[in-house]
Amino acid sequence: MKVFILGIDSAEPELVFNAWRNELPTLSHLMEEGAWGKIASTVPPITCPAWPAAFSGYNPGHFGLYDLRYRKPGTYTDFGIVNSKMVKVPRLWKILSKYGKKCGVIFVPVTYPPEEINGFMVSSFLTPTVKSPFTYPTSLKDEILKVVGGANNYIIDVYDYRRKDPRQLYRELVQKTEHDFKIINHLLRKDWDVFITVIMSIDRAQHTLWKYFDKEHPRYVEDPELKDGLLNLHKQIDEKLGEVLEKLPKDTLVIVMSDHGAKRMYYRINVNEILYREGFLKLKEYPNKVMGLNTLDSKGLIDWDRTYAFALGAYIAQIFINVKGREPKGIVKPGEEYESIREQIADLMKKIKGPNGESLDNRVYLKEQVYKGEMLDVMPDVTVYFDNLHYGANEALGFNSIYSLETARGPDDSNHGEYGIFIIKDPEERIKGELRNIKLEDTTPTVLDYLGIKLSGVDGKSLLS
Amino acid sequence: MSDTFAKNRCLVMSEKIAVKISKELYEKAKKFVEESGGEFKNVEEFIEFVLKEVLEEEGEQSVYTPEEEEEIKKRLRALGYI
Repeated sequence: MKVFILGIDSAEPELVFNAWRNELPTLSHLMEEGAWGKIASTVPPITCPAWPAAFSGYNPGHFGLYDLRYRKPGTYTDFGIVNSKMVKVPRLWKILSKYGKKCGVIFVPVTYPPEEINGFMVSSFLTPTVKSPFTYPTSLKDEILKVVGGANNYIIDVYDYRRKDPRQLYRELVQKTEHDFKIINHLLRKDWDVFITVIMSIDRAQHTLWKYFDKEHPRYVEDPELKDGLLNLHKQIDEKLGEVLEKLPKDTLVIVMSDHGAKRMYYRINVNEILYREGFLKLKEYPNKVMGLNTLDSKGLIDWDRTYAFALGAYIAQIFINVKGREPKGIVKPGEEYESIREQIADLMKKIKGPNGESLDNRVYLKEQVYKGEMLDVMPDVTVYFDNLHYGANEALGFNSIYSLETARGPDDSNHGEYGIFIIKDPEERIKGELRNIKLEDTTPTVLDYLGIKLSGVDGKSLLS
Repeated sequence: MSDTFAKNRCLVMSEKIAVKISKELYEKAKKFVEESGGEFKNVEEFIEFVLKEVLEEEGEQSVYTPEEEEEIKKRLRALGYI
């Protein structure tokens, strides 16, 4: 049996399974023939913890990722960009390589630098530049560049996203999907047992094109040309997938999934502003203009010796307590004091209301409720989904308000959703119909189970069990 | 651990400098060495091994050069992700 997995980063179950189901013939056919359901993402529902969780079977607490960036050890705000070497738990392709299975791993997030596997790998959007060694084997890079017509035509990601006219962005995303499938189709001709690929264009589109189709969006824009932009990008992938499936052998197990969903975003909550106003974050001086946490820190404006907590996160608030012995200038004693401060902050965040005094459905998660594993120490102490992700978060300070009504970073139509899509069509029809209570971590043990390999000790479980 | 250690043993620098550590930690390290079944000759060898492991792990995290990291951050900032 061969396995083909297509990841559609950020594909939203409500759109794929309901609103646009009839517009996506390949996906709806797979649903009818196989099994499908919304799949719980990681906390937070962000690409970098999510895909490694899906492709390892482990909760993010085992590999210590909670965002696209991480706090460099011994610092508060010196941020590094995550890379494949940080994921210490074995991922699907490593396990399969040990069992002699040949893998193709193409554009899967958190695979830069590429790993040596039994097969081939092309890294994803965290590849620095076209000059970087982004393939395994290294020689594959030249072959890939030839497929797209040279290094100048290779697209790692969309560039200058915020400065682009939405029409231009839409055209570039269509082009990016075209580009990615050209490479995928080329590599599908190679020898492989398991082929895994992830398309990023829907994620990029949703942050900018959501307001053109969603009439309930507070910034809804009527635009005949862009109203179907997001739908068309889904249709393009659906069509390309259809072409791929026609070429695959009949006994191929097919999985189409996303790492998280998306939902309309109203505004952002300025979390550090709240922490500052309530005395948890101490400043030497309030900034005279809006500044990111990193800038505030580098200007020496944060009084770490008196600070109890601070927050990171652009879409989801991730709060760290300034714990003694763990943080460079920690003041909160582990144990009772830590629990008390954390509880006060959790209560405070739960009660945050909207700009017109409306109640919000804020979800607050404490570290040990959502994480387990050897990297627990680096994970945020409190994670907050404001209005269950209809409100984003903002770590910058200097707004003189706890709300960012005019989003400081340009278009922000949508936030990430806590559920992704999962569709599985196996040739033996061992599972059919709607799947419930499934989570990303179940992906790896399920795939291995189909191939006769039992994976134990992970947090996910096989859907066949 | 034995394999890694054997591999690293040949890399131990010839020039040495003295470093002071707490007596308590030294005693713990000594006990560990004694119980290691001959894997480590002495505390010095053990400390060099542990330090090397930690430093290599740290190095592994920063696979990007500062310029590469800035290039990625520029893209992610434009996306609103950081």
